[in-house]
Amino acid sequence: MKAKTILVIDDTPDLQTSIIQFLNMEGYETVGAANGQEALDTLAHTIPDLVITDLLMPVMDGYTFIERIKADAQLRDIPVVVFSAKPDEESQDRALALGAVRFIRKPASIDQILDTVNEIIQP
Amino acid sequence: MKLEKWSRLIVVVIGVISVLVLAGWELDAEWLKRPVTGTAGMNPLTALCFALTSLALWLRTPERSPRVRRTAAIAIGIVGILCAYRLAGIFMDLHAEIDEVLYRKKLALDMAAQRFSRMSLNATINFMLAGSAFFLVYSRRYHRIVIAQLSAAVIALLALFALLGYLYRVPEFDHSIPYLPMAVHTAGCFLLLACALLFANPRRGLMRQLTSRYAGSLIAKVLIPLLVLLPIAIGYIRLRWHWHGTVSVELGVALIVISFMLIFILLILYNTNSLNRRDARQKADAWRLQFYNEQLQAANFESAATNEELSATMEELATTNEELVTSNENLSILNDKLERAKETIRQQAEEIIRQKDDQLSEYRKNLDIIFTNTQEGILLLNAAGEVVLFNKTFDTFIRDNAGIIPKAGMPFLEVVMRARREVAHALFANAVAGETSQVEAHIDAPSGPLVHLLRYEPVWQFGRVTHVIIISSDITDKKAQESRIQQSEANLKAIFDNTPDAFVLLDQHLRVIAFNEAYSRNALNLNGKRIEIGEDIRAYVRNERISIFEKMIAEARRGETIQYEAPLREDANPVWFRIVITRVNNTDGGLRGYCLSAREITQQKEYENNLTTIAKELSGLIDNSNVPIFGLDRDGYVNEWNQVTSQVTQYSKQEAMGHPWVTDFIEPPYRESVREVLKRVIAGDAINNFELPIQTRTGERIMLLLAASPRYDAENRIKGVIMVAQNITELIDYRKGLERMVQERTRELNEALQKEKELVDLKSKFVSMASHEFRTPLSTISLATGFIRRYKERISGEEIDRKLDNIVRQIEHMNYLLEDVLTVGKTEAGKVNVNVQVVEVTPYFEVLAREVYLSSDKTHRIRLTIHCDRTVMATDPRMLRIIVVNLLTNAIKFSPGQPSVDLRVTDTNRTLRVEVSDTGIGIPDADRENLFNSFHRGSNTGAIQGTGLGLSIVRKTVDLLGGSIHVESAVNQGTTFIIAIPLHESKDDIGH
Repeated sequence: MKAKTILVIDDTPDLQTSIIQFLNMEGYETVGAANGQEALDTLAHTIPDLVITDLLMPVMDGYTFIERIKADAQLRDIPVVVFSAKPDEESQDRALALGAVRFIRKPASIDQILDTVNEIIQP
Repeated sequence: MKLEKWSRLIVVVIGVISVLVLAGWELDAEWLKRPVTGTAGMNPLTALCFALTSLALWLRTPERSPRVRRTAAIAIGIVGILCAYRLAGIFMDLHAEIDEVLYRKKLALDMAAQRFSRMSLNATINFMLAGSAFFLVYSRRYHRIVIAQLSAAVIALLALFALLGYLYRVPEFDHSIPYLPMAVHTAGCFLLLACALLFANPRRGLMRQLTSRYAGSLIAKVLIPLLVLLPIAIGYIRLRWHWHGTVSVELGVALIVISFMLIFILLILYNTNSLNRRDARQKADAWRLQFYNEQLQAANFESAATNEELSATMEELATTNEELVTSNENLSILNDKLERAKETIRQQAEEIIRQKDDQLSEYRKNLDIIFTNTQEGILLLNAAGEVVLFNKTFDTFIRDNAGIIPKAGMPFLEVVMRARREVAHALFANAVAGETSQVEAHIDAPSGPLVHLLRYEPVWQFGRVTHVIIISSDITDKKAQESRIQQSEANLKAIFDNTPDAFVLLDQHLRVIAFNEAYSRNALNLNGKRIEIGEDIRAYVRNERISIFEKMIAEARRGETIQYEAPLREDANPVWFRIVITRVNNTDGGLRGYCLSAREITQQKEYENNLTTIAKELSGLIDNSNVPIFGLDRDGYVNEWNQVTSQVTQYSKQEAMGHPWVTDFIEPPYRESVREVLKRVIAGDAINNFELPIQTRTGERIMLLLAASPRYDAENRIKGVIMVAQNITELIDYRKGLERMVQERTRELNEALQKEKELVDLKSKFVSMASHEFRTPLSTISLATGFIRRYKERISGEEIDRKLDNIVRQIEHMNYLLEDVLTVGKTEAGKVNVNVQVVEVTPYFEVLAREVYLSSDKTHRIRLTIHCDRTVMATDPRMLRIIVVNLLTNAIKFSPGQPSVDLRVTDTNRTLRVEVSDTGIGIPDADRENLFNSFHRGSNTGAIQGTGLGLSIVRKTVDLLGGSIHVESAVNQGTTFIIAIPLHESKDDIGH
């Protein structure tokens, strides 16, 4: 069976690398993007099984990104998990209202992230 | 004869010949078949074709019906078919020849006897041409007709050729050429047929050129037959000579040529001559025509002129006629008018007479009315004393009072009361004697005593008294009135004499007319004289008062009145009088005289004096009162202004009196309300305790507390307003001071509160920032540690080292954050000490730039320029570092994608100037105000990470170094921070 692909969007290079590394170790294929716009460019040729995205990013933030893929008939079914440092409840509510399936607050352990990911898709 | 008729005649001839030939074949008449023995005969088929063609041409004329035309066409069609068959026979060698169908045996016999009787080729062609010409000759198209006529011409030429062959005995026609020979009468028929076709429609196509009436056609008509016949004749002659062998061929040809030349020249001469003659005739005709034309024109002109004259004469005649008619009409109109005028005059005369009559009767009627209705009784008597006439008033009076009914004719004394008869008789006698007399008669009427005025008047007629008229008027009422007036005069006199006021009536020359008792009593000792009627009043006036007296008289004359008060009688106590002189008018308004009255006013005078004294005291009281008191008249003009008022307002009494208080002393915003207050006071209200700000002369503003009450005059009418004021300015100032103090305190309290709020705000901002900014490095650390723990068996040592390095980096980052926070905290608390050291300028900034470059992942080049006179500087290097590093880091952070940032260092005498510029996102104007506040972040920083502490730290550090910071920025163009820091000369200069 083909490995599932996860698109990881984060503007902090260290963090993005860290996430990608352990997802790879768990057998997921990964694609990285530094912001919403880069992610949309990637989606033009690669359809992942899941998206993990930060909210605060330059060029295009996470909210806009979620809005855009939810407005696209081809992309709207991809589950989106938000991984953000925003501490407030409003951010979480807003992201979920836009169509994100989970909201993981930074900092989080590998187990937390993996549990969420595995719950949605299997490697 | 017309050519068309010729054509039909020819057709008939052809038809007859063809029938004769057929008859010849039937009856074996050889001369009919073959008129010249030994030549070809006419084939029966040829004869048939001629018959059919002639029939067709006979039938076919333009005016025939379509049915006849169709028959003709069928006939020609048969000819065509037969000829076509014959042609086929000639060229295709058909076995069954069509020309051998009729009289086959006889033809065979002929053939056997070497007598040629076949239908020849040229005959067949001629029939075909004739057929086509037949169809085209009546066409409407020019070129079809031309084709038809050309075909006819070809037929004629072929026929002529055959005839010439016979005439000139051409040997080739002697059966040596098959199909060529044509019987001689066949050729003649074709020649005729050609003529018939040409003449069939002679006005159209080519024939038109020959048949027209123009010169060319006329000549052609002569020339063409000549040109056909002459050559034939010449050729025949030439051949005859040849046959007889008299002339050689050469001579023959020469003669022919010569004869042709001669013929042509003759023909041309004829042609020229005839043309010239015709032309000359034409010209003469034209000239003559023109001449006639001109004559005609001239004749025309003349006739036109004559016509005009004629019409002019006619018009004149008509005009004269009209005038005549008009005169006649005028005459009749005048007659009518005359008639009408006569009638009008008559009517007017009648009308006038009628009007006069009317007037007269009207006049009589009026007289009668007056006579009847007058209030005076009228009685007309004759000289004998008998009643002639009386009016209704008289009648009524007599009936009512004397009980007698007066009648005309009765002696008048009968209607007179017995007691008055004597007097009446005497008066009548007087009147008859010619005198007029009147008498008052007192009559005891039943209704009461009456007084009548009776007048006896003689009526003169013809120089003698004929009648006497008695007019009686009732004067009872008048008498009563007179007695009433007398009574009233007596009453007035009594009043006049008994009034306590003294009166003197003067005439217009100031002479005394009358004076009353009071005057004579009181004015007894005026100038020490007794007053007398008729004396000039001025005699009683003292010398010192004469001028005022004259003035009063003068005023009185104008209708004015002057009151004059004076102590006229000077006893021990002076007795005061008020003198008034008034003008007395006639009934017509003219000056009649004067009335002088005098009233004793001694008591009143004393009362007035008392009142004046009280008023003076009151005025003094007001003036000297120790509160401001001032008064206004009804119109708002100042009429009271005490000393304290002057002091308070700094306007003197002279300046204030007579000025409108509201407009001159009250500030505009208060005027309306003050007017309202004054209105109420003048209406009778007293108003207490109203505060009014007043501007003093020096511009100072004072506050008055006013009590306004109405002021009354002696008749208890409100004559103005009196106001008592209290200067409460100081009181107000004190109150204001208190209010200011309260405000100040409140403000201070608010500021403290605000500061407290800001502090709380700062704290909450810090918490929010810290939680967000620390979460990202914490996440990385969490993931790195988790990674190592989870996969330590599966990964290399290098991988673990990298993860550990990452952890260390994140911790360092968090450490920087913490330090920033601490720095802010310290500077807020003022816990930082300046530690001045001497450092070398260039190396210091180079090292700083290098550090920042490396720590920011080398994304931007830092372009360092140093223009400093000094090589070393004395400052706190640690603080300067904080400033520069923060500014450079910001510059890099907020210009993503740009290649470089600038760091420029210059110095002046005592300051170091550091400029950091980028070409980044810039700072919106809205953010300028809070730019240096802790945790404030620009509205356009978006997702660029930051704490909002950098510029706060920079600002506080610059402040600690005693420097200044200045920013220039434009959104999306870039930002420049300029720092100026005072430098110490050396380390020893430091004050602390």
